[in-house]
Parts: sequence; structure tokens; C-alpha cells
Amino acid sequence: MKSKDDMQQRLGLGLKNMYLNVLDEPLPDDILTLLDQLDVDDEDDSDAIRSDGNE
Amino acid sequence: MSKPEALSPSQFKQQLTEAIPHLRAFGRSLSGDRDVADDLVQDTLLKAWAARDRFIAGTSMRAWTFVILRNTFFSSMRRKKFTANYDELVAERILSAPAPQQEPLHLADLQRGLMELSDDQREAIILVGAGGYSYEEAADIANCAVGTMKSRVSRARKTLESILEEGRFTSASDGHGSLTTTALENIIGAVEKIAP
Repeated sequence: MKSKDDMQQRLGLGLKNMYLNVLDEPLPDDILTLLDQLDVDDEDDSDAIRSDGNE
Repeated sequence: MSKPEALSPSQFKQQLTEAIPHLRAFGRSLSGDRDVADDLVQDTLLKAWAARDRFIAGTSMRAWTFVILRNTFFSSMRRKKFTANYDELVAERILSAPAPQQEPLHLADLQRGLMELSDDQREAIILVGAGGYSYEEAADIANCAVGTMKSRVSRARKTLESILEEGRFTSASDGHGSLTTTALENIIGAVEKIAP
């Protein structure tokens, strides 16, 4: 029988592993494309994206 | 009141780019859905870029963008744009993730368990338990008191343990058939393989 502390510790490690798995993934193309667009807007000094507002 | 020091656009973009993997991890844990998470990340990037003059140099870009992402998620949930549901396809992708030191099936069960939590509790356990934020940092991101954050994390841990220990997933998160072993046993088994 595992102790409660042991379970909590291992559950915490499982949570961290779940999170870390995503960090290791390559960025999807649509996000890379969006980043490129930010570059273009920056170079063009366009405020088009700024009209989106903040949450 | 003086204007806060701002980063140059290229500096801002570099820090924003570095935050993206964490935004994806946070978004996916919150929503339980890879595609929804990436939509959230894109919304967040646009909003962050639009508000870049308000970012104060020297502060945490990750925390700043986490606030934008979680606000976007919760406000969109209210408008029904996003829903926090377990996605079996996500779990399958997690299952096939190239992480040889881990037992991915157990992570899928964990993801399902997270979807059983309330939004507040799920956010709290992700920030503190998975993202490694302090209670103070997590409370800032979630815009709540530190005591509230501690309480949410505590309740989330207890609820999650109970759900996983008993393997009792509701239909809202149940993307699989019946479990042959409890989810917590699976997680513990997986972690034992990698724990020092």
C-alpha cells in the first residue's frame, strides 16, 4: 500500500511530465506563420494587429 | 506616472516566442484539447502583440501571457467558443508522444482526470503542480488571493487523487472504455520507472 505522501509526490511528478511533454513538441505551422506575420507587421510599422485589443 | 520601460519589437517577439511552448502546455492542460489550445495560443499571441507597449521589461513574459491566455479561455468559454472537454484524440497523441522515459497511457488518464476538476481547480493545479509556479505567482496569474490559490490547489489535489484512485471518470471526460486498473496505479507505475 502506497502512502498518501508517496501518491501525492508521484501525482505531482505525473503532472510535471504531462506539461513537459508539450514543451518538447515542435511548434505547429500555423503558429510559425503567425509569428512571421508579426515580423511583417513590425517591418511595415502597421498597427493592423493592434486593433484586436487586449483581453 | 512614468511610462513603463518597453522592449523593442524584436526583443518582445523573442521573449514571446520563448513563451509559446509554455503557453501551449498551459492551454492544452486547461482545455484538454490540442487544437483548441493552439487556437488559444494564437489569440494570445495577437493580443500580446497588440498590447506590447504595456509589457514591462524585466517582468515575466510567460506570466504576462498566461494571464492573457487564461482570460481568453474563460471569457471564450462564457461565449461558448471553447469548451473544456476531454478529447480522445489528444490523449492518443499524448500516448504516442516521443517520451521514452515515460509511460504515456498514464498521462492520458491524468488529462482525463484534470477535465473532471472545476475550471478554477484545474487552472490552479496546472500552474502550481505542472508549471512550477509559486502560489504567489499563480495567484497573480489567476487574479485571486494567495490563500485562495492554496485552497484551490489543495482541493484540486484531493479531488484528482480521489478521481484517479477510484478510476471514476464521468461521461464528460470519458473518451475510453472501462479501465482495467485504476488510473492512479497507472500513473504511479509510470512514475516509478523514471523516479530516481
